[in-house]
Amino acid sequence: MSEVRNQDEVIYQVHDLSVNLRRRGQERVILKSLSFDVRKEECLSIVGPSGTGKTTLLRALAGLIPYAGSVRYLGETLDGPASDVVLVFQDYVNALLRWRTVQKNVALGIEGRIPRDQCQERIDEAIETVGLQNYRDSYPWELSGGMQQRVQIARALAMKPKVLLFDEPFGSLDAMTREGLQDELLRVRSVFQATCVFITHDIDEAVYLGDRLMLLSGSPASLSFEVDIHLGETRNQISTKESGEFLSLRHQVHEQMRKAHGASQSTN
Amino acid sequence: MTQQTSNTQAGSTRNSYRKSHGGKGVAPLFGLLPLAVLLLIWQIFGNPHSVFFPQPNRWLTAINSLQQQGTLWTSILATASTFVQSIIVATLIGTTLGLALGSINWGGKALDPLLDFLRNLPAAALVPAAAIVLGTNTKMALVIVVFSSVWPILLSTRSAIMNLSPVLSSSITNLRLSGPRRTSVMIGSALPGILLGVRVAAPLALIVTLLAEFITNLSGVGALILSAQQNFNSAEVYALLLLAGVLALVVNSIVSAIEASVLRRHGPVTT
Repeated sequence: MSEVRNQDEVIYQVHDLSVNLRRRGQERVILKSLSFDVRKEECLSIVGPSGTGKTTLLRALAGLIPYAGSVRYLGETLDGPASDVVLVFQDYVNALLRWRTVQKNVALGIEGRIPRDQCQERIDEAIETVGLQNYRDSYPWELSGGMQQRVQIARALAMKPKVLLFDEPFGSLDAMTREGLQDELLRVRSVFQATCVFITHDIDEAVYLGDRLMLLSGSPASLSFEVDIHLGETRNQISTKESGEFLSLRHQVHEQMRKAHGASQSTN
Repeated sequence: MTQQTSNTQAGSTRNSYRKSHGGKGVAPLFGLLPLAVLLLIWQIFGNPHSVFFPQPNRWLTAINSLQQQGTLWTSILATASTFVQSIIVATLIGTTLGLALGSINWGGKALDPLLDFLRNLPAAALVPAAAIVLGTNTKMALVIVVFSSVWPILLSTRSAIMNLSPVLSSSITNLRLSGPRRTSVMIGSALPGILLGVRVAAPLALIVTLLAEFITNLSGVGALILSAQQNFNSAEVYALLLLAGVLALVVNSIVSAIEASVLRRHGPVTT
């Protein structure tokens, strides 16, 4: 972990990013003056209370909304939907096409763009990676929530993206399914070398999945805390979560969150 | 295979939500029982010499003589052909315009007064204007029917597109779908709305088809009714009235069946 970084080890360079959104005719500052980098092949966890503007931040990184300040993606200023960046939404029901089978859903991002046989190969690979090979021809509404979310992840993987942006992907799943998918995500990351930005309000999840963690808080939201996570490549739901490192990180983040919350309360 | 068999089993969960989706199947036939009873009572207690209320058996004779004259089936065919062509054209136009209007943000509210104005123009009042411009021919009937049945489809499609989930629109942009691929995804998710519009438009199209035939005396079931009335052939009038009702029923079940089979892939309705 050297401090001097090669230019192509940085995927995103965000400097002084602010986002204003218009809601019911009123312009509101959602994000104020965020500066951070996203490094190649890391998993950056961004944690913050609900309603802080985490989703807005992801949408800005995907190039879906206008922003002020500078966002450089692969060295270029981002001014439109970023290529090779795929969002994975919490709301898998609406993100998937209900009239398409699992296979056809996974194909959505690549069909017609690469040769047919190569396309099929990638679809099969992605479906096998998330373990849905027996459900290729099922429709999303025939599957459980966890499986539908796997379909969305497979759709993202099939595109072989440089960056995966996760917007609380496991937020609406039950605890058991969520843990299973967290481990699956770690496994997928070891196979597909993609850079990930993972947004959640669940501190345990953020620490468990991340290589680095940032805290987003306040209104308008800003970054208030950053920490590197050294939990190693292989993580385990039981032993990792009982390790001293995990517990102390968890402690720190909780404390910082409380502090940030207190600060925003007193300014109000 | 197993899916298909469970589909045909009455009372299976799959079937029950299909029904709520509009696939009514044979159910309406049982619902016709009161009408059948009424006709039976009419037959039994009716006055055999009544001029204004002929008994149903005389309707059958009237229909039979129409069939022997050879006008019955040609008229039904003419009406059906106008109806089918119109509903297809109306669906194409309505879907295209609805898609376009739903996609542009300002089109949402800005055009509402115009749409409301056009939508509420009574079809009967349009017939004379269309007759002047196009003459009294089948083409004119088509234009009138399309014009009056296009609105439910257009408005329903537009609102389906305007109410697309923001997550889906973000997905479309994020996956950089454009052109026909983007359109096909949008149509796919608006399909329940489009088909709802068609279901509303279909009976309307049939009514206006009959109305156009009625007013212009173009060949068709409407024209048969008109000439029956002009000849004071009340039995024939009633028979044709019943025929029009049967046509409407057939149209409704065909449209519902199409809707159910198209939406089969969409799964249960989630609202």
